[in-house]
Amino acid sequence: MRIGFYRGCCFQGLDFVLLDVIKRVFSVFGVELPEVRKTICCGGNVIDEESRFLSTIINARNIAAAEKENLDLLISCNTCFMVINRAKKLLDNNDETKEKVNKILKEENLLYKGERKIWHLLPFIVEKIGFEKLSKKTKVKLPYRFAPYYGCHLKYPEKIVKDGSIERIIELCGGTQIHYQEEDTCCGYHSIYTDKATSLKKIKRIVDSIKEAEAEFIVTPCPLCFKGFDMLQKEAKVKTAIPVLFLPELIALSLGFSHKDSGITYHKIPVKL
Amino acid sequence: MKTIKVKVFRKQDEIHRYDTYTVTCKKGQTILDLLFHIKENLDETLSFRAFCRSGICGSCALKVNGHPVLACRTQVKTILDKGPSNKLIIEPLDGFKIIKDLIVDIEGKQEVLKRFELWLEEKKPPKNKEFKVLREEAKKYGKETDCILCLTCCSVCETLKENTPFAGPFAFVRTYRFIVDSREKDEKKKERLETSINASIWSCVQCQKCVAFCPKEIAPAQDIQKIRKETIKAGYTETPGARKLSHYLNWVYATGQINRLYLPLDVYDNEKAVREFINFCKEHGVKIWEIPHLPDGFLALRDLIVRALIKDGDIENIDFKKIRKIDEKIEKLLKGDSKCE
Ligand code: FES
Repeated sequence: MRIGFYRGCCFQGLDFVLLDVIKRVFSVFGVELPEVRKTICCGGNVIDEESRFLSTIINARNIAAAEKENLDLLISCNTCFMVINRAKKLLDNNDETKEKVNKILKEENLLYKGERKIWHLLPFIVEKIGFEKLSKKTKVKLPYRFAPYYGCHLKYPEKIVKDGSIERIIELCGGTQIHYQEEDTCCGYHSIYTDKATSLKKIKRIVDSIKEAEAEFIVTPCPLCFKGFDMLQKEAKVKTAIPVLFLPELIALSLGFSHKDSGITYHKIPVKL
Repeated sequence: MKTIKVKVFRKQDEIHRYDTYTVTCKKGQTILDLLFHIKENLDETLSFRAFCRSGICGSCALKVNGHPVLACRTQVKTILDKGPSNKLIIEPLDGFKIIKDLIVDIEGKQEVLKRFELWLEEKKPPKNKEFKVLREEAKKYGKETDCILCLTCCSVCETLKENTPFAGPFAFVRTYRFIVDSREKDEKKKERLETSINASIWSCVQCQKCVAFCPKEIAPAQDIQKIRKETIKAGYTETPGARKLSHYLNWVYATGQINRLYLPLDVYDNEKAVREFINFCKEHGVKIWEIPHLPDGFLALRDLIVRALIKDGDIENIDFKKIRKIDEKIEKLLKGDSKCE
């Protein structure tokens, strides 16, 4: 199976490691991830403040770039998915905008058709790889207590993932799923650079609630939530810091990859297994 | 006809409990009909708010099976079809003090309405004429005029939860509705932007829950974004949020990517964060970049951005002085004497 990979701006610097982890995990299941080199930052729902049209055309271009290579697009970040999906829905339902956009895209020899599917990493794992294949390939049991954290933009404004997906994966990896009071609370990532105090309060609220439920790790499929939890717990003055795993890291560990190849040696909050 | 158990949250004299009622629901019955049925036939002490019964007054918002809805616009059947069993749990909205049973205290929000002066302050109409609102203009705030102040958005708001002076999404929906109205006085528009800044418009975390649950399908989080832009246009360019947007615009224009290395510097003048970032990368043997990964066709992209922005006169918002500095870095990179991941 081949699916175009949308890189976005999540994988800069140290987070480049996360990209390698995704590729490593997917290769075990025979999924090739050619990077669609023409794709750019989705605008992170920030460019939308400047101009919704600019956001729409940037993301029409992102999808058109994949379509040109006859590929579906795999997106690993919740926010990128939400923003690109929003543009897609707008374009698919509004011929006038689509035409306007395509007129500009034509200069780059691109055309937004809207025929290819865009995927977020988590539903892709659930629907295209499947729990059965996943469980067949797991080698290492991880008998720990994991708190699943989905992140808002997988659920709002539109739910694109089935309840219990992360929980199932946790169990397949040998872990125990832990539920906690604040599991639906926003991690506040998007206010880090608009009002940091609010984002720190959000992190603290969630992590303290996870601590109370006695989980040992947080697991999230969103690289932004991941980054927020890994970077900001100290500053947020949580009672006890809890290490966080990006979902592909959890899978990598249970597939038997080394700690380094699973990405966990690069975290700010040490992951001790 | 189906017999179901309805669990209803009760609060009287500081005591909380859930009461369960067995009811037979009829075709077409709404949650509000169900509550009236309970009150009239099973328990007259049950309290809830409702008035218009047709989704206009906004007084009947409450939670059913964990999600906020307008009781008068929600059919029991729809909820049961979604749910895992034939159980209904009815509770008051989150985020408010509960007065009794399903009735919450909205006084604080009424204060917000007053403080924001959420009514139109008209200019004088042209002499001997009336104001004309053309269809194109009405489209801009048509949705927003549907807001019925049911406060569902406040009940799910992630920012309000943290007790900041954030006014709540509805206040910004209404604010936006007036600042784009051509009939409103210009001074009043300015005042509204100042009020929005003071009411923490940049604290919104953009979780999108208000967009998901608004029973009138308004998108409050998007109105917040539109007001943010208006504040920048009005000269509030030094808020962290305004600087963040500027970073996004400039870097995406120049390189197709934002630059996580410089983001803390551009927004908070935080040089320490940049140094720490570099050190952390070094410690782990990861290369540091000055220019993030350049996508294919990043120069053609610039034309596209110019075209998209030029129509509304927004191209000025790209800081071309800054772009030239970024370009110097790109030049060095392409010559091979700069680091890149
Ligand atoms: S009773 Fe008026 S909106 Fe429901």
